[in-house]
Amino acid sequence: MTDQDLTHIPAERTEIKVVLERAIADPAFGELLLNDPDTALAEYELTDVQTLLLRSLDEDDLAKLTPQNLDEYFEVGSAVYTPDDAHLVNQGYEMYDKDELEG
Amino acid sequence: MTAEIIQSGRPAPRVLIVDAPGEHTMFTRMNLPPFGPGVVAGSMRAAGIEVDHHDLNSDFSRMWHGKEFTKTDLRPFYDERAVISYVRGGANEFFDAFAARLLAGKDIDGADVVGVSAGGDFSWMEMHSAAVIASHVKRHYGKPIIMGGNNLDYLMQFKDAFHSWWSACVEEFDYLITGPGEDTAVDAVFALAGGRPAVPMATTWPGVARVRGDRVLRAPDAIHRIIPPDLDGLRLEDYANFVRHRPEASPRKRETDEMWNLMQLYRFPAYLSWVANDANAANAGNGFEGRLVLPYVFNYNCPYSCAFCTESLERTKLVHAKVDEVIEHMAGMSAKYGTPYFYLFNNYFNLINGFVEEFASRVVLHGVKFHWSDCARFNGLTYERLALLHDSGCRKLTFGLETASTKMLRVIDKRVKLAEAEQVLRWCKEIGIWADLEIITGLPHEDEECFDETAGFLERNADTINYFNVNRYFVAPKSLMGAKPEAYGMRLRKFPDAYQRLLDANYRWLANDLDHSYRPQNFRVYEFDEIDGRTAEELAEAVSPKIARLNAIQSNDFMDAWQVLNMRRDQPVSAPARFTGESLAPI
Ligand code: B12
Ligand code: SF4
Repeated sequence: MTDQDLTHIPAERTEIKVVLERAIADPAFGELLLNDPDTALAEYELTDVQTLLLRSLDEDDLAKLTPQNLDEYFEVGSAVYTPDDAHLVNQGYEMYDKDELEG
Repeated sequence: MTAEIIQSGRPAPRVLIVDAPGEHTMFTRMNLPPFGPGVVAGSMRAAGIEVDHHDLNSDFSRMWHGKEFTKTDLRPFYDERAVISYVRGGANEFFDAFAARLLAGKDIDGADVVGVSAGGDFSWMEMHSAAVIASHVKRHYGKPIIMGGNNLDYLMQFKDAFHSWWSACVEEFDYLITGPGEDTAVDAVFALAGGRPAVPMATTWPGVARVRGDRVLRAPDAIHRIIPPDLDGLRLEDYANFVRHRPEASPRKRETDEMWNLMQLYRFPAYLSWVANDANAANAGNGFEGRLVLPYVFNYNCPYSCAFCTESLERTKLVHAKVDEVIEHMAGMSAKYGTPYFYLFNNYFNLINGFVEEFASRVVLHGVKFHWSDCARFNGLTYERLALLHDSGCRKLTFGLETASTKMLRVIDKRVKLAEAEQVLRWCKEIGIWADLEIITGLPHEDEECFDETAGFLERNADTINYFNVNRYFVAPKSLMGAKPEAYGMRLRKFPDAYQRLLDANYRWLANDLDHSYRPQNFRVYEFDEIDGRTAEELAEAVSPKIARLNAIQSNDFMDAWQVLNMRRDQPVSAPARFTGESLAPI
């Protein structure tokens, strides 16, 4: 696999976002998600972590959601781990480039 | 010892312990009280010493949140010459003012001896602020200084690279203690406070570093004792983990809250646990409550000799508390600090035969309720034992697998059978214990085939692995591989100015305001070329795509959690560094 491939791993569209989109578009569903999450989530295929995450939301969390900021929070790029990041987390001292270090 | 003091008619010595601050409080809430210094405080108090213990991270954090300084103001702490010259008695207004501000309100005058903890997080801010604080106390108050903490062990391993730090600190301060501090710190206090004959620095005193001529000498380590940390005097609210707590909610909601709390404290990797804590803290009182998670350890040293690990070079006798002591310590701490939550920091829990069974039966017998996590080894864990562990409160075990290449496993002498590992992972899943793994990539001569085997193992077992920490291999001098690099196909490359270069990398990270999990790999002091293989530069090139590939295997659940938590915090942020370097030491 090349670096190029790695930057383009498609992030799966998470079911969490699907549920939240519906909660914004359909207030009755949003209401149900808050009051009876077991019923609201019954038809979705969610992992236990996803279920807990959705069950953890309260009125304030849902109230501040808009389609725009939801896209921002669940931006595809933020879910993909790129070699650029790998470079950052791999940082130690530069081996030779002394000038660069002074900056 | 107390009797000794009373008989001698001398008042008990008074010690002020201060824990030097590190960078972490500028990134996230603290979530664990200082363990090592807490153990030392406990040991001193048991010996009849009066201890006044302050974690300066509490003060540093308040200064940071009060906007008393910016990250770039801290530049001098990343300047070798500035720090060493201050320790040597040079003037530096910034250091003087900063140390004075951190120490404001602490009773330095009343102390006979000041103990400075240089921390245990491999942080340069900790190691340098410790030196600065010690120097400030010495020049303005004239108090004897002892210094300790796991960071001294790190500094000692690379003592050639950090020679200036050692020679300045050993010459200027009284006792620098490497390794276990339970007894050495007590002896040092009595020596300095005049209660016992002073042990001259020229003789070998376990755990006390010396300089002879131009050489820094490490004394053999003292022996650990198992002592629970004593956290008295600390501002415990600063270490709260904010978890869900709604006593008046419906039983279903309370059940969900309990599940959430265990997920936050044990299932989540550290970076997510911190974000959850930050998000919840903002709603404190509103269905969220701060609880302590207690650090505790009941065994030290290790009978294995995995070649990369600092436990591999010297055979040190195992130290293990009896099961009754362990229960007494844990039950005592749990009652005293009002929490069932523990992070155990043993090298591995199942170190001695029969311990699992005895521990589990005592927990049931005493009717105590704990939740805990620890490290473990795969061997010897049966379904029944894991079930017992679960019943006694085990929520997560971190296993050192390191690599799933049979060749590499042999090279590092890991003594893990892959089939056994897969079986244990399945059982953990079935029983409800989250299983994390430690993975090392970048071992010398780890070729594509070896790497594919590891990646393949992680993919194949993705369903039963909760999370895996990806560590890039570094050479630890106090390991078999560090001591005999050629035998492992490595030629070490040491750089004369590695000290300042590392500091520069740390300062760049701080000044660029990067995520805490992007922190530089301070343990990589030496690079290496493979003998008949790749150069250090080529190895560095090769490791990035490997890390990226491994991280792509990580469960998407954590990415979902990252996004939802940041949504709750109202902070859209890009991907966290999942190769964190914060990951638990290779086991
Ligand atoms: C918990 C732990 C962590 C936690 C730290 C959590 C925390 N903030 O405390 C985390 C997960 C972050 C971690 C990370 C790493 N760790 Co770690 N970790 C441990 C572990 C399991 C326990 C440490 C501990 O608490 N010990 C118990 C306490 C009581 O000991 P202590 O703090 O050293 O205190 C004693 C002395 O230092 C002294 N002392 C302490 N304070 C004071 C103060 C004074 C005044 C005095 C006089 C004495 C004194 O007395 C105390 C009692 O004896 C040890 C293994 C082990 N079982 O010891 C590895 C260990 C310390 N880690 C190790 C390593 C290599 C790492 C990593 C580099 C691994 C990696 N590849 O990422 C990373 C580094 C991350 C980073 N920050 O850069 C190695 C260190 C090797 C070495 N010493 O050179 C160890 C020994 C494991 C091993 N066998 O290889 N780690
Ligand atoms: S890696 Fe773990 S099992 Fe191996 S020697 Fe180190 S502490 Fe022991």
